[in-house]
Amino acid sequence: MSVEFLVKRLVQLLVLAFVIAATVFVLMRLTPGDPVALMMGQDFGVTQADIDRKREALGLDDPLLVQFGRFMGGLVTGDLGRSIVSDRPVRELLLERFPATLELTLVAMVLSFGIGVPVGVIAAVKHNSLFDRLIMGINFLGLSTPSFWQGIMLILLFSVTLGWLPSLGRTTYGFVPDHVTGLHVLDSLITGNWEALKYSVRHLVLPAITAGTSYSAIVARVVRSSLLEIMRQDYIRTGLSKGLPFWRVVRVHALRNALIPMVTVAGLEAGSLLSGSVVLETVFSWPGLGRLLVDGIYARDYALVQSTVIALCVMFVMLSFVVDVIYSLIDPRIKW
Amino acid sequence: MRIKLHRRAVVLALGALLVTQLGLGYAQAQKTIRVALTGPIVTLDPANYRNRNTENVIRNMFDGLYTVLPDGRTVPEIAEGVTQVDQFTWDFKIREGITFHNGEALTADDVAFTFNRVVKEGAMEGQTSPRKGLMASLQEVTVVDDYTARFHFAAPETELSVKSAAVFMQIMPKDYFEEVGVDGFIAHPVGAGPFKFVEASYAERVVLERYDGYWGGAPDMPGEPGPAKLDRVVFEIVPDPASRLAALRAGDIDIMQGVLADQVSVIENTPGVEVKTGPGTNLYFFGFNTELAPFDDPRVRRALAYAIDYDLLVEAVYGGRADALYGIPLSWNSEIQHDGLEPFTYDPERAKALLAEAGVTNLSFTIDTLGDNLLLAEAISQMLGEIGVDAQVRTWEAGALQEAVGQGSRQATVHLWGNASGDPQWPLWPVEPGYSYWRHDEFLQIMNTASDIADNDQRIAAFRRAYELVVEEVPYVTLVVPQTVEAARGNVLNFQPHPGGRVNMHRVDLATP
Repeated sequence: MSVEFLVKRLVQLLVLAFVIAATVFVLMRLTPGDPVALMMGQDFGVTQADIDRKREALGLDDPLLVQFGRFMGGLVTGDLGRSIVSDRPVRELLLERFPATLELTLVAMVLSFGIGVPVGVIAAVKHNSLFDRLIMGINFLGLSTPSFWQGIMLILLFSVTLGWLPSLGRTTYGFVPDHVTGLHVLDSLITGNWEALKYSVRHLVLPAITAGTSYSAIVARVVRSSLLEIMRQDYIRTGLSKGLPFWRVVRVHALRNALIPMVTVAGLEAGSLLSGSVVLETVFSWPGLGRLLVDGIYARDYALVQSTVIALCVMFVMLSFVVDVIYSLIDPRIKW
Repeated sequence: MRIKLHRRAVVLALGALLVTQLGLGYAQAQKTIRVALTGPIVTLDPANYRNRNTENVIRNMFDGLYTVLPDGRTVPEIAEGVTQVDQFTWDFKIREGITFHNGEALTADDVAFTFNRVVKEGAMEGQTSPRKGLMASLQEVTVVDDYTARFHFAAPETELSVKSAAVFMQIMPKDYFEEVGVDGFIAHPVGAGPFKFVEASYAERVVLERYDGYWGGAPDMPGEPGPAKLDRVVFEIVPDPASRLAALRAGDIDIMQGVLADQVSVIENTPGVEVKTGPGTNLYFFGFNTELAPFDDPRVRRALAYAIDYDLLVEAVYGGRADALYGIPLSWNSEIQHDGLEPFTYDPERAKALLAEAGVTNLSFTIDTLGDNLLLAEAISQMLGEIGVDAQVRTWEAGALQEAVGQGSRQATVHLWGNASGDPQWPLWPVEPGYSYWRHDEFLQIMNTASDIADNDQRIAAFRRAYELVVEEVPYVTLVVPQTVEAARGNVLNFQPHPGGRVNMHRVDLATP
């Protein structure tokens, strides 16, 4: 990997962050609705002077360019500002929510690849068989089922009817592991708190299934179609004709070459899940980034929305960097 | 081959372990109640919020001078009572022997500190408290002696307005706050309420536990005074109504706030859970921009008021769990209400006749409203359709609607106004801050001066006249007040929804199985 590539990526990140910061800044201010008016309420006792004073204290009465400069200046020094509504540092709010999102993302990804890859491989190998059609049909169903509906159905079945799994939150009160990383499952393992581990896993099952199954359908389709193409290649036929076991050819020679599109899907999935699924977080009362952002938008919490979007944008760029690096690890012909 | 078998065995064993673990039930600590709030809380500083979920948590940790009972009465809590000193001044007598969660005694010093931080300019760490608007014309609170706090108002206020201001702010410990600062206070809030702080994650849950040194609570509050019965209250943030209901049915929560009208029958048919209703305080109204034709003609506004079948709204939109208002502004202040106001009973023929008299034909306009009010607005649109008026409904998100209506760029709106206070001005709110743009000289004269009338009878007479004018001229039509509908599991005892939506856990108990 060349220094040139790294510098290029860094410059790309900075430019993108600036453009996104400017766009979000302008869009939030173009959106009708005033954070202070929404916050102060519309009572007889609230005078225009009170609202003006609050605006002044928050710096909202300054010219837009000054506000933008202040915001960008803060970003450069790592200060993401304070939430207008809760008066807490945005950095603190993001750190509070991020572990929940990260944990769900990781488990959902493991699940989607754990299901998607074997299903895709079998569907490709047994191409046009009954199994292939059945599995692709189910896949299609998984893809086309909205996650809010799927989530509610899972809750109704496993929480309400069967009573096996909890319906909300990251864990049950009283079984929260000591904070190490913020990831409950990992923290439970690190601290050896098996009760907390049990509850954390139980709480993760339904949201992870909901998040994971729609992606497992995508993974399965991608794996299937790339394998189908690869299996027709000459080197596969050569391997098989020289007597290599079939599954060894699939696993070692075919699947490795199908990894590139899988990594692409993984990158997209990670990006999408890490930016927080509002629907999923709402259905499962999961305290992640998506709801933080949406609540911020409703309250016109400028600082919160701007900084959250910037943080997500940086995360996306870093993910795409990681994906590029993985490409070159998988395929030595790809050089950066 | 051996290795493969080994792997399989491990996978099987792990799978079996997972399945058995998942299948196990999980025990709750005794007398821990779980309450589902409808959204995240924003702070634990009692002076810095205007948010119902935040209020629910804060008011279980902090007590106020006065409080509102589930039946709507305003009664003393930390205060023993209030006496008027002069036109602008009121003295609150504080109960002795009340302590904060850190053991410090609550005195008039704490009361003055609490209210001055709210009403004085920039007193909240350089900012002005968003609760200032709830404090009537309160300017300052001074200390008369350890247990008497003097409230100085800028205008003569009714006793009810004074008490309302006292309800809307909970008492904070001055010394502790000054010692730890605002960030320290928010991280570990200390109040004088029935429950003390344990831990909070604003987006997920807040945990409180019983304060054994609690003074006992408002004597008029139904239930047994003394420390709380519950060991612990866990507020869970559950924003989605369908998920809240599922969690209630699954037993993951014990009390559910924000029950939707269409969920009531599901709850009623579910064994082990109960619907709980109480009086409501959200007044829904149909407001017109009276500066735009043809809404500048009172006959047109009156016609539309007669075209609404209020009883049908109650049945169809709220499943009977609402009170119809028939165009009469509702006040919690019984002094203001009078029976002389003639309600707009549903009369489509009269509506048509009034429109014809005003020379209005083919009336077509847009009703702007919030997504939450869509059903109500569409019901009205359909009723208006029956007298030949074409009213299209358009929904908005709260911030956008607030700004658009404030700028006068909308023709009509279906909106709501929380009216838990007995302040006689509040039910007139849909007119005053700009929803109707109604420039009626006599009405504006009353609104600008009535609060300053020192004589109680004269002031009441003035407000009664304002109410009469609203009914005569119809700048807006009051529609319904939906009841507060909540739900609880069957083992929850002594829980009653509060008109203001407040969840008071002090006297709630859990039946032991």
